[in-house]
Amino acid sequence: MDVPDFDSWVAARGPSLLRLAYVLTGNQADAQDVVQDALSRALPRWSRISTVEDPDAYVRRMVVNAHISWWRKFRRRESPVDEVHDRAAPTSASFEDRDRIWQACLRLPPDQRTAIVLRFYEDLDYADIAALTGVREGSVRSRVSRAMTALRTELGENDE
Amino acid sequence: MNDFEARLHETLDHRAGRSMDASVLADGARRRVRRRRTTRTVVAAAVVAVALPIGFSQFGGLGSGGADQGTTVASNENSGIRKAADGFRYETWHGVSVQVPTEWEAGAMSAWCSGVDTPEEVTPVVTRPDTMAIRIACEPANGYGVTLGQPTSDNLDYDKSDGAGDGFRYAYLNRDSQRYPQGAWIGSWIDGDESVTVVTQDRELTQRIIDSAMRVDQGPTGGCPVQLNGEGISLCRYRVNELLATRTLTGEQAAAALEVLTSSPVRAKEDRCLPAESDQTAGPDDRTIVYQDGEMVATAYFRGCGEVLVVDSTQKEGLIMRKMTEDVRSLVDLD
Repeated sequence: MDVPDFDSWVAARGPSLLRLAYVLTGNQADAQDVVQDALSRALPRWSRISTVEDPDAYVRRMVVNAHISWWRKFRRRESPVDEVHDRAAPTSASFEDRDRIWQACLRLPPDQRTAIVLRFYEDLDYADIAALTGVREGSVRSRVSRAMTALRTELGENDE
Repeated sequence: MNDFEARLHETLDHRAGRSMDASVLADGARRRVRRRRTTRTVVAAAVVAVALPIGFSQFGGLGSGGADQGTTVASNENSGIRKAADGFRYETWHGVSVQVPTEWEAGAMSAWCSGVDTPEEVTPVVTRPDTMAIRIACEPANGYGVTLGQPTSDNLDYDKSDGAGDGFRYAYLNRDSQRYPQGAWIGSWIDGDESVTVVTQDRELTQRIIDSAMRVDQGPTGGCPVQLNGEGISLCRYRVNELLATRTLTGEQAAAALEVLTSSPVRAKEDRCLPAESDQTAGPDDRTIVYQDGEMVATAYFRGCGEVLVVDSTQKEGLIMRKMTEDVRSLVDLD
């Protein structure tokens, strides 16, 4: 079995981890922080982690857990949103629509946003999200449901 | 997937596609590993000298340990202060303290299998109720360490009728639980709403830790040991005026800690970062107070982005507000 060294693996998979962390945290600085925290915990065990069946999924799980740990530890109710306006004004309806949805996502409580990201970005099913976040599957469904209701309400979307 | 869900999916994909610099990740991770090891070494060396008040009712459920495991080194108006035994440190939670081996780390007992095959391969952990519990289906469900928290029916089975005295306080030892490693020695100390559960490979160690469990006399500082006979500093973590944890540093470690506190960048008034109104969890009572010779020398607030109010006689008002750097946070975040 070809075992990747830590640096090579991070070079290849780091951008993907940062993208996941970015949609979880809502800003680049915190995304870097969460990914580095997860990688610093993976590094001492890399000889083992690199040989598991799917090290990518394993470390992505560590990133999610680092994010959960991070917002629980610092008790942040909302992520900073200071850098979401750092680009030109929307030039198309779809772009504007995405921006509205994204900003509404940023205003979700962290537990709901995490559930939404895992469901609609990572495409995980409810059971996987429950296993990953350490809460019951029913709680995951509830979080996703409440988040979707909040998003639809804020964006003036009709329930389907 | 309906239309809104599809647009949500597309939005997350689009935002995630923003380019970010990943070239610093590997080096950043290495720096954190080195820093964590350095901090752990300093703390491990220092916590041997952790001191706590002993105003408690000694429980004699298991053996005769407990009271004879520390040496009283000072006393204040409320209670005696004792050192942990050599190789042990105190861990406290909600008025209950217990001595654990210095090398034990904070973490979740349910996460032992992250990267290893057997619970014997990882360092035992100290778990509190707010410790993040990663559910990754370890078998057995828990590894080795100590859990501080409230008694639960699915933690260890216990029978209140076995309680001694007026209050409900007792301890026991067993080896028969599928929730813990086979052959582990499991001890449980329960006093009203607080419990200590210990799981080790060694019967004597489990019993020693269980026997060290005790209630901490609260007093005006909530049980924080503020008088150390000039031997160091005390760091006491509070939330809503409840003492959550304590740490005492002596000698070079105390000097290094004070250097960290007093060298942190000054935070200007216009650079304050109080929490948003929506932040209902980190209030002004979420803080760590640092004492030296019975006097407060600094208070670290965890509100907003974190600030440290340091006593500084060179300042007109005798106080100066400094930033909560990562080094400061590593020092004062005992929770």
